[in-house]
Amino acid sequence: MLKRFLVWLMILTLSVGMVSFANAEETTTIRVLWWGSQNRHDLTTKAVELFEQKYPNINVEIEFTAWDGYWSKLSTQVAGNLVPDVIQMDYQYIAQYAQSNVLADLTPYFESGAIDISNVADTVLSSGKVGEGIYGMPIGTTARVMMYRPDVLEQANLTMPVNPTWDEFMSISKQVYEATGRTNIVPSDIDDLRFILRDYGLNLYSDDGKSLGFDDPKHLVYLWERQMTAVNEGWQLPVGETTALSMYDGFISDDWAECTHWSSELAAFQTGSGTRLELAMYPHSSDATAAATYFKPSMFWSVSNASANKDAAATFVNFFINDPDCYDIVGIDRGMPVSSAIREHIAPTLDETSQRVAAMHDYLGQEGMTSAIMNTDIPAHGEVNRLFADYSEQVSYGMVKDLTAHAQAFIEEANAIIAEKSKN
Amino acid sequence: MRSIRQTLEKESVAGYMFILPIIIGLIVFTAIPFFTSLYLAFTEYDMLTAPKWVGVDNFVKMFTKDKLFWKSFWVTFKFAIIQVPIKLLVSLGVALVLSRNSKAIPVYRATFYIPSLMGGSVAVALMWKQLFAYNGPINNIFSVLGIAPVRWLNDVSTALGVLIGLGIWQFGSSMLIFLAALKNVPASYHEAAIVDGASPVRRFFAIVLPMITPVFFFNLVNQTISAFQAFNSSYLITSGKPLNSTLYYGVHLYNRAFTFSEMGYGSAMAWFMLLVIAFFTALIFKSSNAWVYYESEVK
Amino acid sequence: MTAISARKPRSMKRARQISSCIYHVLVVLFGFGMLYPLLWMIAASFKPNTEIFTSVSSLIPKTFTFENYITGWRGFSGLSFAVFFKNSFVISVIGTIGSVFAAAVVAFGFARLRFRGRNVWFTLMILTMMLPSQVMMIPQFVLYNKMGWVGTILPLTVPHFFGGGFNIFMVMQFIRGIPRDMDEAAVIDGCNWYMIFLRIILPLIIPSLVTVAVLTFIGSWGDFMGALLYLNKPQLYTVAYALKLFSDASYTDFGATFAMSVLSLIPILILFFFFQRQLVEGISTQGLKG
Repeated sequence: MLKRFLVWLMILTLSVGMVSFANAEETTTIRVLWWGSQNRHDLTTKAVELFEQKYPNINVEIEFTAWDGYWSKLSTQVAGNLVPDVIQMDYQYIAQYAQSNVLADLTPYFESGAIDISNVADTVLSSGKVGEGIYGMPIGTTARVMMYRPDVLEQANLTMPVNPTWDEFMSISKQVYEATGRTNIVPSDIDDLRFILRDYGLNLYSDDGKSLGFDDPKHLVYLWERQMTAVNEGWQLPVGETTALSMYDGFISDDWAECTHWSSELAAFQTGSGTRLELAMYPHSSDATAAATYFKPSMFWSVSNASANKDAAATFVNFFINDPDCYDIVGIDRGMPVSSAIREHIAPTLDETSQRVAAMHDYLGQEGMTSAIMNTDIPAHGEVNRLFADYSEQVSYGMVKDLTAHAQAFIEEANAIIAEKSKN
Repeated sequence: MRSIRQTLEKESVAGYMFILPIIIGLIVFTAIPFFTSLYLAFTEYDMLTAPKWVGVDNFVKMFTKDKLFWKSFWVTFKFAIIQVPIKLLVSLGVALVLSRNSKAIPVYRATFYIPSLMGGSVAVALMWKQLFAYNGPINNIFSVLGIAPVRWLNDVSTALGVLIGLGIWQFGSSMLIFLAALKNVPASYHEAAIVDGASPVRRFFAIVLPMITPVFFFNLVNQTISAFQAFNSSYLITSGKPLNSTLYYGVHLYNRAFTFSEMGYGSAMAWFMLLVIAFFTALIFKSSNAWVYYESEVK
Repeated sequence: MTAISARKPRSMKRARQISSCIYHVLVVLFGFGMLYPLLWMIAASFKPNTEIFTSVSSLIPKTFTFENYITGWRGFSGLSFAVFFKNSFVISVIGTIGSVFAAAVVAFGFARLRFRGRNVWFTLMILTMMLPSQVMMIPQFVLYNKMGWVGTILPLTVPHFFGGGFNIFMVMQFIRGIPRDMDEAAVIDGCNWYMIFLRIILPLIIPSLVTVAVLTFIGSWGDFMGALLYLNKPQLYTVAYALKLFSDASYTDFGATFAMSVLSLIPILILFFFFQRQLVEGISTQGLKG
């Protein structure tokens, strides 16, 4: 009896030992890198712990930074051949990294089902497309919107339509200023130029990425003229008279509405400014022929092309897209989840602010409210962006007499930069 | 055994023994990155793919095409020429004031050092912005005095000045070095001069100043090099605005290298800056024969 | 003569008192200007996040809260700031020891000994300091990566033992200000170069080494770039690095950032207080030749 028991015991220990031995042998380690702030670092770490529990044979090493410094760190790691297996990626950089062969095409993992995309809309998925492959799995979506202070509008006895035209936006701004003294800003960075172009079905860059996507200076002239009107009418502060010190105290110091933010940032701006903010769509031209607003992936998970553990990396990505338990932890920290099943799953848990963001996304989700996102930015974008800022600054300093000629000069100079950079 | 010892005691061998750490440092840690960056200056390198040799293209582009290259060069030059002398005089002045004997001195010194302790932090950037904001404290003082408010950080004629002011205000480290130098002036010299009836001002110029010239020389070189390499204040506070009037060379270099992914071009810019700094440093070294007094070299 | 000296002390004493009074008033006034950012940051660290910008120039919080310190100290992914402080401390202490060692030894070699190649090595050392550091970042990373040092504190500490051109140059200037009489006397007594360094020069350059120590420690303590590039594991993150982790592209928890910034200043302030005593007598009564 005892003997038999001992034999069984031996077999048992041996097999347990072998299982654990096998496990030890199969354990793979993947490195994951992301940017974010305290909340994201905490939540993601917890989600990673859950992942390791669910997949005991995959060990995850985490690294995180702030946004500031992230790209220096990543490009340095690429230069040193020390690329993390899973990389949080931004729309602005994905093309450059994909074209440089740093990222792996995820299509095979979609086909094998390793990354389940059955609940992800094609339009969303295709935002990670560069050339023929998909190099980034969108994690969440966001949209450029207007944030405004309802209390100021109320004071002036005005309301903001959900989908305002520029004329409405300008006239409301003027009336608010007259009634309350609160100012507003005509948004005028390169993304706003994008919106103006998209009103007419145009893009900032041509499809082949070898030039700007437009040659008519009138679009730029519109943008700058609107800005000058606002300053002349008094409801936009001239350069240097704003008292805002950081991104979101504009709502406290001078402004009552801002069109330069993303829907996913609502909670941050409410906390930062300590006021309740409401959302409206980004204004559009009254003669617009297309919907300018688009859903943008707030960020992607990309997999390193040099990774030795791509399968494990894909498992991780899938976990972060489709696992309800994961979303019980992370919520909408990285934007509205891309999987419709997950969106349903977390809907009841959303707080009031997140619910309003979700409602806005539902509104935008209706037919005709948005159009597809433009191609990923070309490598010369950083330089073109900088050039545009310089040209706009000259306008706001009143240094430009002939806006059309100024716009023409920008178009020529930008095209020259793009041509130079896309030579090779 | 004996011969090893004798060898080690020879001046030339001992010299190398003492400077061995820096030789190792230069060969192991510095040489490869230093010359790699020189190589990169002749390439096109986006950091994601291998560098491509382009000969002197980067330098040609720098001197002929890039408008902001010369712009940022002159901004930096102006910055250095104004900031370095003022900062040196201020730090020496404060060091002199804080080198007397008093119970409160440690607290004072710490106080005057705090701006430098806080360095290039977000808090300093925000605070400085707030100080010079349109409705900030400085303009408030102006309005009391009946002077119209100034758009400090948004006016081409004042923005660089505000940043230079920030740099001068962080004079702590050169003050600290001057303090150490002042401590090394032997008291006996002072006593002798006091017996001779020399006034404090005369004592300063006749005794203290000559004795601290070596350290003054060091601070001058140090501050000149770091002024030409300035980066933080522009990057954190103005990002080159308005109209690129505060675009330091270092910031332009950083934008080019990292934001525009042109590390090859950035390296070329860096090597040009090295030549400029080397030129000015060489001038300072040459001139030092005329005004720096070394006690050890007096016979 | 006696008449004059009998009257002089009293009027001189009063004059000295008045001048001392003016001195302290002026220093305190200027001191406030110097202290303003710190006071501002301390005040902000006790304000709720929403108040930091609504009452931006006020040095007294309307609502006094410790919340920022609590959220801040919590740190990231289960690692509190205690860990980051410990890491910063280890790195800064090792780096400081390295810098002081290298500065003392190498400066003595350059400043006191005559040997072939001295000027060449000195020039090389100065020259390498002139290259803007941004372009050294990547090649340096590649090098340390090949050495297998990335992800450890080695790249942030070991090079201090073999470098620090500015420190070396500074200490050199101090040594060159020391007359050679004592060396020569020591040589007659049978001292070799190593003994001269240890017995004569080293005690005399303590003030400059203290300065090197303070400057290096503070530099190391505040080094963000090095930590960003080389410390991959969160368990190794330093305070300077962790302070930035409160900011995302669109959101910065300024309250927590300021609270932890205030705490991060405490160790270096204590260090400064402790070491500046070495420079406190002002006009020296010791050292050099009497």
